[in-house]
Amino acid sequence: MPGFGLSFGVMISYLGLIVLLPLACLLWKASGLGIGAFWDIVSTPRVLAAIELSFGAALIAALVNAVFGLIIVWVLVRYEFPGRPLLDALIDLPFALPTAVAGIALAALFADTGWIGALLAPLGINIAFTRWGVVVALIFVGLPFVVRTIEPVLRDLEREQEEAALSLGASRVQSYARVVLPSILPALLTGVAMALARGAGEYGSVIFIAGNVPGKSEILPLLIVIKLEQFDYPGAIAIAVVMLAISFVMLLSLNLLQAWSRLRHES
Amino acid sequence: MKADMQERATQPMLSLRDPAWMRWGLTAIAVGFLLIFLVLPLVVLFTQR
Repeated sequence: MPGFGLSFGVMISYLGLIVLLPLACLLWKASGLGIGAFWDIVSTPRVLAAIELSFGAALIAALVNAVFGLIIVWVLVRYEFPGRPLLDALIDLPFALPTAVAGIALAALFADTGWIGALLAPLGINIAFTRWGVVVALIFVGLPFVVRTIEPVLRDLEREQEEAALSLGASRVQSYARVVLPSILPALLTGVAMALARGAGEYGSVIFIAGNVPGKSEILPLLIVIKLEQFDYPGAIAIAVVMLAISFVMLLSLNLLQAWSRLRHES
Repeated sequence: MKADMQERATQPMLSLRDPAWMRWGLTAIAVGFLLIFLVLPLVVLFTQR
């Protein structure tokens, strides 16, 4: 295959320099800790609570974005209504807005004195400065990943396939479930994986709305920063390795699911 | 040719348009979601003192 060697070499060199080398350094540093010390650091209740919160909130936010992102894409691609280009442009806002600014805005909105928080507070629902605040912030930062991944696929989906399904006697629900959904499922899973990865590592927006109570609303990236500020480098490295391992397993599982979904759709 | 066109015109067309309740419902959900998570935070930013 002409050019394969050169392009493969460039790809491996670039990937190695930008991604693999920093990760290898992290693992190399962690290997000096020893299994006992490593386990002592990562098995404390504070770290375990942060792991649960970071990945749990990221998963909930990614699932919420999967459902509502799909609806938003459907509306933007299939329907015509006044203000549609404006809504389309708004989707990219979380990409452009500094995450700290987003965190401040969401905290002001969902605090007990904020516009939405004031409506929910009498019902006993508190969002800002609780675990749910983390989920809200991650929904905000993750939405464009889901929408922008599904949008081109749905736009390119040939309507003739749906037309054929309807003309062959399929109901509308069957045409959505058996024609549209399988076609966009790989893109949907990709978007969810990206939102999940972004959410698990998000720091800027979350620390303003989470309250950062140790063991309750403290996320893993914040714990790493705290360890670094205390010059506890082994602690920071151990937590980072755990985060890396869990993220890798989650993303690998989603990629395998995506590959399976694509194969199933193609066959 | 004319007969062919006439036949086509009288054939029932398959409608790919979603029902009105679905169009309005999904648009309301999408706009509501974007309003809560994107528009209102932006408005708060500009109105906070």
